[in-house]
Amino acid sequence: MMRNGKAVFIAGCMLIVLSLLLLLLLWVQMKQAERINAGIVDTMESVLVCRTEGTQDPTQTTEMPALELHDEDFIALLEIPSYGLQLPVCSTWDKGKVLSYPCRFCGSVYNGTLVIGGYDHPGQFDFCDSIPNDTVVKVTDMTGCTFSYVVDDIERSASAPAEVLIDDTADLTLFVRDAQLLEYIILRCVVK
Amino acid sequence: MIGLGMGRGECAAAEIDPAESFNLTLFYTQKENAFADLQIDIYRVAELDPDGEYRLIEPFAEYPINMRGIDSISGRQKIAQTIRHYVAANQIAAYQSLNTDDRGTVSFAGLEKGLYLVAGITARNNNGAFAFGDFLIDLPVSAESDYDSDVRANPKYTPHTSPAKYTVVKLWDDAAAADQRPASVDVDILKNGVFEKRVVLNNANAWSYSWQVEDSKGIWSVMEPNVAEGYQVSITGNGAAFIITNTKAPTIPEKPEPPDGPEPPDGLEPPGGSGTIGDPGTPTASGTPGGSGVPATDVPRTGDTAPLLLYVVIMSVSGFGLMMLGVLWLRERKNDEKR
Repeated sequence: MMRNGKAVFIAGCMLIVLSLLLLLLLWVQMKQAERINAGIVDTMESVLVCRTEGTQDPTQTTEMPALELHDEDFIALLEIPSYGLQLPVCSTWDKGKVLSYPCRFCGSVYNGTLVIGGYDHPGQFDFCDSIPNDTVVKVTDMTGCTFSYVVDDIERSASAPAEVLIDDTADLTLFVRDAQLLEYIILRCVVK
Repeated sequence: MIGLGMGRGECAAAEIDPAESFNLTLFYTQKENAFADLQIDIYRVAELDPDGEYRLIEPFAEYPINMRGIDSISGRQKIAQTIRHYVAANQIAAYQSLNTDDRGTVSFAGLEKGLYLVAGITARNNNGAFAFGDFLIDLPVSAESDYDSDVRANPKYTPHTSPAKYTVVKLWDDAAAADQRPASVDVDILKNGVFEKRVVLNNANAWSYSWQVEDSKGIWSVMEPNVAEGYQVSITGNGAAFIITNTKAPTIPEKPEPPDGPEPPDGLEPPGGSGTIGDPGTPTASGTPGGSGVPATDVPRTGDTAPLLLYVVIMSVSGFGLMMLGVLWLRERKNDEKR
């Protein structure tokens, strides 16, 4: 009986230690991602020496050119000035990469179809559940063309298939999965 | 008078006599101030093929110039700038070259049908320096049911700035086909069309290079002398930045054999090639025109670590519960022993 009690107590301790280790791992990953992002943004800014205002054209069929950094393709710099946020946008969708930086799910900034997914940890897309309407969001492509948008609507959805994410009325869509509520927050932005 | 936008020389309603020649008159003015004695160079760069598509002609045909976007204003600007870099780097002689008169007017006569590059130029007056950009113009310009054989245009200008530092950046437009890219590319930097320096761009220098400029009067251009096989190039200038974009050259598909069976009903064609909705394959780049292709895994998972947080909570609660249970157990055992 005594031995069983000790074993249960030790098992409980181990579970708590394990959960703390997992938390630490998550924290380390986030900090690492923040540091990598900051480095990528610095490089992008050094490359984007001249910025011009971009104009959206629904007939535009040009793909967004990518800058290759650290063996990864980046197509844009996402900025939310009121949050002091600057994030690189990875060219291709990969759920494994989203923890590090936002990724394009589909679309192009040139014709108003861009959909970008992110992760809701601090320093990335954690603003999504509290961002007010009319907040300015900027996307600068790697040629230096800056497209400015404002947040128009915030939607919540239990799932986020492509049919839900792609919305003809939005010029830019940002989405993230709320880790607490386990639902998707979808920001619809329109050209400013 | 026409704008400098589009106007492909396809004249559906009016047949063009192949022997007919055209005139192009350009007006170089800044508000009411005319720029006299400017040397204006024009280059005949392409002509329409029987399919109504522009094909580059010699000497431009030998360069891997990306002609995509010829139907859009921004696309034409890119093409014009790219061709201009090749003109500068290869010292290509102008098709015609004339100076503006006192009214800032220059008139080219006897031009063949085709697509022309009007080379940009920087001009000065009492108000400062102004840059007239490179642009493409179709001869003739089509109207609704006719065409103009006398084309007139006012080239656009912007205030000219002389950056103290230039940067050249290499971008890729190849649907993330990184495995097909070269490990590095050479870029030649030219001043007034004369070779200055060759630099190597690669991952280590973020595919970019910057250089300081001491003499503000020089005209700088860049060239990629050896474009990787299967790629086309566009070179654009954005103030102090030169952007060299390598685009995967479109492959011309072989004509498919007619299928034996019945044709599939309309609407079943996937909307964007590979990697479209419903495709159970691996995720792909959104490499369809316009980037509208949807990754094969059309249900995004941005919160995949959310279960991790859930596990942390469950494990913590369970662990705490087990600890309490263990303590109670031990206490009960001790009490039993005392009794």
